[in-house]
Amino acid sequence: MMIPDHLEMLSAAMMVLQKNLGKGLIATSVHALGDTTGIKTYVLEKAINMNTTNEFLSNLTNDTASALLTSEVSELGDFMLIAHQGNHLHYVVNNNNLRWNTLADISLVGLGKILYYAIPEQITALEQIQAQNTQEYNHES
Amino acid sequence: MNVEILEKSMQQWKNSLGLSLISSDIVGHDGLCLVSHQSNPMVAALFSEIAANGKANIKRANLPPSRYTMIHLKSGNLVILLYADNCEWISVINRTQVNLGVLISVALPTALKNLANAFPKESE
Repeated sequence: MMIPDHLEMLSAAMMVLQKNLGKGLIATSVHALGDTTGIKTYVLEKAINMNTTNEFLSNLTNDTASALLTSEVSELGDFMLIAHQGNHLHYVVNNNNLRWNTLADISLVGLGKILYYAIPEQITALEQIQAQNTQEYNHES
Repeated sequence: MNVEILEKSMQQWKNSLGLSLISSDIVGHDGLCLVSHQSNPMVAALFSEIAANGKANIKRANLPPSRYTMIHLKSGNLVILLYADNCEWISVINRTQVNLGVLISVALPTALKNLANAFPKESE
């Protein structure tokens, strides 16, 4: 369960994302694996329905992860990125317990900035939240 | 389909990415390889299926079709799927060896342009 401290950590991480992507950020949402309801969501373009986006990205990521799991190639790693015709780009940062979905406009933010800065910082943020969760769970038990 | 353009495109892709390119296959919708460099048919067939699932998900969500997809693997490699009307271009890249600047600014835009030229629209 996401407790207030973790929500603060998520808010801080989303502010970093907003700084990294600037005007290129359209919407972003973190949800738990298996539940596409956003724990924390920012939508900067009103027309975007982040519930639908979370569901779409969850289906896409789950299908990919399942196909990889049954193969001998490798498992799904830290992220998956989809560039659509036009300027929109969806990407998912994948973690054992959480998924962080982002929609960006790549005419306003470079792909390099997303790959070099945004995604690594998002991976680290989710890892820190997970570590905090694990520490608290161990402490409680 | 212009196979000559596909072969030249593969050569350019290989030249741009150098040793970081582990395998690369341009495959038809049946998952069979049309043009390859260090072909890995098993990977090509798997990601061709993943690409087909992805296209179906995108269509169901009423989103514009995908131009390309990047999938990071736990092994550390990066899979890049480029889409054309009649095929997918599937490449496995060593994430630690690749120059991301070259990949993003040079190799990717050129490959997408070449792929579109190899499959001209019927009206063209």
